[in-house]
Amino acid sequence: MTSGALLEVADLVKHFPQGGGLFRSPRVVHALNGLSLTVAPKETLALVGESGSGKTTAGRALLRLLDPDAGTVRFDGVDVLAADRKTLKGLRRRMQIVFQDPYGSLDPRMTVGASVAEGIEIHRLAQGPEIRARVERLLGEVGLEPAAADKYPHQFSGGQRQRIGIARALAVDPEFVVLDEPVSALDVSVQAQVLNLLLDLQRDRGLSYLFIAHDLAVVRQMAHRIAVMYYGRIVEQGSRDDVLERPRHPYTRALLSAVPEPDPETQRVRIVLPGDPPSPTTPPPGCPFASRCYHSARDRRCDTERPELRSVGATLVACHHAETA
Amino acid sequence: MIGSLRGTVATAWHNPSGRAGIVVLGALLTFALVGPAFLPDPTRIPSLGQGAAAPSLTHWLGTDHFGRDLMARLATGARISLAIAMIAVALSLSIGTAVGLVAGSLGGGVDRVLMRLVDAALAVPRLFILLLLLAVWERIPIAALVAVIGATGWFGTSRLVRGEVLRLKNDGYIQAARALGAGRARTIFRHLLPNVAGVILVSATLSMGDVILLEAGLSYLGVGVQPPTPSWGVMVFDARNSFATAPWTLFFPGALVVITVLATSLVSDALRAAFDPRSA
Repeated sequence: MTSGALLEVADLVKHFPQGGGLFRSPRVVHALNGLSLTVAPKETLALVGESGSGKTTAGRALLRLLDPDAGTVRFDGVDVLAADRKTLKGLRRRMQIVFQDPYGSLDPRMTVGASVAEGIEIHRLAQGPEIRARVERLLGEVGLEPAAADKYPHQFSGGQRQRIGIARALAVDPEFVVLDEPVSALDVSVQAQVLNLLLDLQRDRGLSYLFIAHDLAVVRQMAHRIAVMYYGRIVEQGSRDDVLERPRHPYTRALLSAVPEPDPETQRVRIVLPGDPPSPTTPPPGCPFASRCYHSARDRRCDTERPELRSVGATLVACHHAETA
Repeated sequence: MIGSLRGTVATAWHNPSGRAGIVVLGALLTFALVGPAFLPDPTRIPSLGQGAAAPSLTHWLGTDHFGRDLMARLATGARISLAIAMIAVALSLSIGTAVGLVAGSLGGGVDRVLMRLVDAALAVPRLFILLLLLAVWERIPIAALVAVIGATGWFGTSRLVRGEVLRLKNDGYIQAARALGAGRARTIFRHLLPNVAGVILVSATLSMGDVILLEAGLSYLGVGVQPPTPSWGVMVFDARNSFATAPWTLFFPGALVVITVLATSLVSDALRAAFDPRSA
């Protein structure tokens, strides 16, 4: 484990029982199958993967918004999953989250001011009129007028709501923020504004981000490091440039080939993956990507032995054949 | 999308049938509140053997077979019927909301036990439970009647509220409140309760109609409000022997029951439409 990391997640497992009834035992959905990652202070780690890969579950599990079945999460040395109520409350002030859906993430029956003030009230960071002053300062910081505090969420656009969600998270002065696809529900023009805001806030406040995304163009703009997730675990991890320019895992390559190329002169082969990821209720014994793998060196070992994350070149890759192109 | 509860009621007011319902209910409440002050004593029997009189200038809606003024009895009956309905509904909504919030937000074993109990209670017809409970009393006091009706009416509401809570629980703002460190009480009272208020209000107006019919039915069966106290159900019951010769004794109380139930369901429909963001 990297020393000096702000957040250290190791072997996180989360299974959701699904279905089942009085006489039937439920099937189990494996959302996280041993996820490990670290986030350094003032760093952005992007967690990318297709839908269903467990990204959102990861973000919520490490904040203990849902309880993982196994694994450890340490924040600044404190064990998050074992924290008692009081310790957890203290941690909640330091770790925050911004949600994907700008419509569902604000209470429709609360004014914007009340939503942003909630964290300040819970942690008693200010009293009386000082609360309002703080709220207005936060709204200003995310580019909204002070008068926004008296309005209701439905009076704002998607991009403005996302700014409000950011202000609410920042109200408790966190050090680390999970950004759960914060711009994927927004128009492209608005996306850029919100991303710039997030970059400015990171610079001004020295924030660490876990940036959950599926859009690699957005990731390129935000991330220092990238972790690619497939079937509930990391399959490739490294610096932004190493992962984007020299991807080693066949899944990462397929993901990158799907990014639209603005220059029509550039010819690029689009890798279309056949089939779907393995069923989340029945994990395969070997490499979870084997059923869709197009790698030339793919062999029987891929079906029987699960590849561990290992160092290949500058990145960490979970593939038996990472050395062969 | 709707911002506030007041906005929702305003939207319901702009719906023509909702407005009609609100106006009718308002008129009924006024009739119940101020009517008895201007009308003769509803229990006084003027002189024996007078029989039922048809509507006339002295008795606008006529008299019943004891010669009692029908309008006076309807006004006092409105007080009793509406008061029973409102208090019983308030009682069952409070219990139902509390159970629904607890089951939905705690989940797990608490939820399973509570909901299985509710399932069991819902499987038994309400009238059967009521008749069973009321059989214990010879002449049931009105307070006990209200309590019994209220205590048997919350099962559906608790399911409804629980369902809403389960739906809301995964919404971003509930998760955000948890992430900010909000405790259970804060989440319930600041976020869940205001957001389920809509379905509670709709459910309230819906069960108003049910309870008015139920009270009328029980009183008609002789196990509800006891004569000579007039409730609309008691009046229908009283008219059972005279309606062939004096149809107004049956018609007016029956009509008021129908009108009231219709008006509450109009209001409830309008409120439901107003709460549905797709129609706003």
